[in-house]
Amino acid sequence: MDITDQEAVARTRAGNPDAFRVLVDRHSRALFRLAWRITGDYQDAEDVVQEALLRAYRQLDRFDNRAQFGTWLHRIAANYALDLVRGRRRRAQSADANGGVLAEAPAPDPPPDRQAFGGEVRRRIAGALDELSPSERTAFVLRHFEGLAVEEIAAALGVEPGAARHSIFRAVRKLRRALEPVVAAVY
Amino acid sequence: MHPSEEELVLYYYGEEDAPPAIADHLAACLECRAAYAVLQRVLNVVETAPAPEPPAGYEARVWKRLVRAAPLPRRAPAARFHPRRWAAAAAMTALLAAAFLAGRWTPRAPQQPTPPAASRVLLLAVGDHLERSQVVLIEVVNRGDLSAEQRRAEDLVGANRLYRNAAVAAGETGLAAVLAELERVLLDIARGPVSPEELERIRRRVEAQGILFKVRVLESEVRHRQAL
Repeated sequence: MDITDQEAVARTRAGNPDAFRVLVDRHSRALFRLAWRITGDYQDAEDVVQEALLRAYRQLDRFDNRAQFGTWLHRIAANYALDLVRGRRRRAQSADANGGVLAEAPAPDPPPDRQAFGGEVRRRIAGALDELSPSERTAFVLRHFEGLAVEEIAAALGVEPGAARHSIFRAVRKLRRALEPVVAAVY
Repeated sequence: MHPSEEELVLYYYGEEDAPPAIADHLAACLECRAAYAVLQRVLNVVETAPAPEPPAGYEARVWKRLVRAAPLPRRAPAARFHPRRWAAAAAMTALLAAAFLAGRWTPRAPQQPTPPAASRVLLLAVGDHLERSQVVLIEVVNRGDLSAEQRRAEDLVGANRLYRNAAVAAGETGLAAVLAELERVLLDIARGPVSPEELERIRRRVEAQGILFKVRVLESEVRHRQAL
């Protein structure tokens, strides 16, 4: 079905849920990449995709058809992903406080000859992103990979624009500290 | 005055509130240019980190999960549909017809925020019907055994027809369309016993057309509108 997002939304609203499949087909992959970048976990990302699409369907009446459906959908996904990661962290911290086994030990640096350099850089990037707080990571992903404006990020996260902006600043500062030695070796 | 790290970040992302003089400053200041170059390299290298790509057919899998993953608690089987319920459904239809006519002929305030009377009565009644229908559909999809569901489907077909007609009369076209689809599946289930091939055909139809998903979402919407 070759129709625009707006048409698909209108048809779904008019009582044809099959039109929603067009939106699922069109947006699932990008949604997955966004969710993975925020959660850092394949299974969590899949769950975020499912939940975001279900929420979007249920809230379709609230969608302003003058806006971009993809942006709206990504906001829903980012919001849910943030909740998911926060919940996971709380559980991990609670387990850690109780001496549980869920606490993650810091990843040791592998010997340089163990991996190709590109793989090592990717691993360092993943490690640096993992060091960000959930809100820092989400704000950074929405700004850096999704190209959302600060006001849009603030709306997605339910915070003031100033708070969203500072989350991005803190994220960039942490990434710079973690990755400066890596990029210095590359360039 | 040298720009702060935050201002360099704003400049990198092309934010409107980045100080306009930064470009000129970077051209003239070696120290700030070096700091900005590091920032650029770090952010550019982050950009290169690939996200895993879902496998082929991912979209179809998402749709299927969306349709199938009815997060409803497994419920005890609904009680048999007694003649009394038929009478209730018939009475509901009469009520709907009256509400429909009342809604048609009674002058209404021009900016009435609530749904028309016929829709309101219909919404009050159809939620439970959709819930019972979901139980049957879930059993068919998950168990693949129609024998236990045939009688219940048989009961639901008659009620479904009444609600569908009432939905048409009330101008609830979306509701009427989903009820029409639901009715065809309920008829198939009620018709049994069926061969394994026929059963598979019914299951595939339920999944491919997303009927369970539609009914689930519709019930959620109906409950929401009831609450309003």
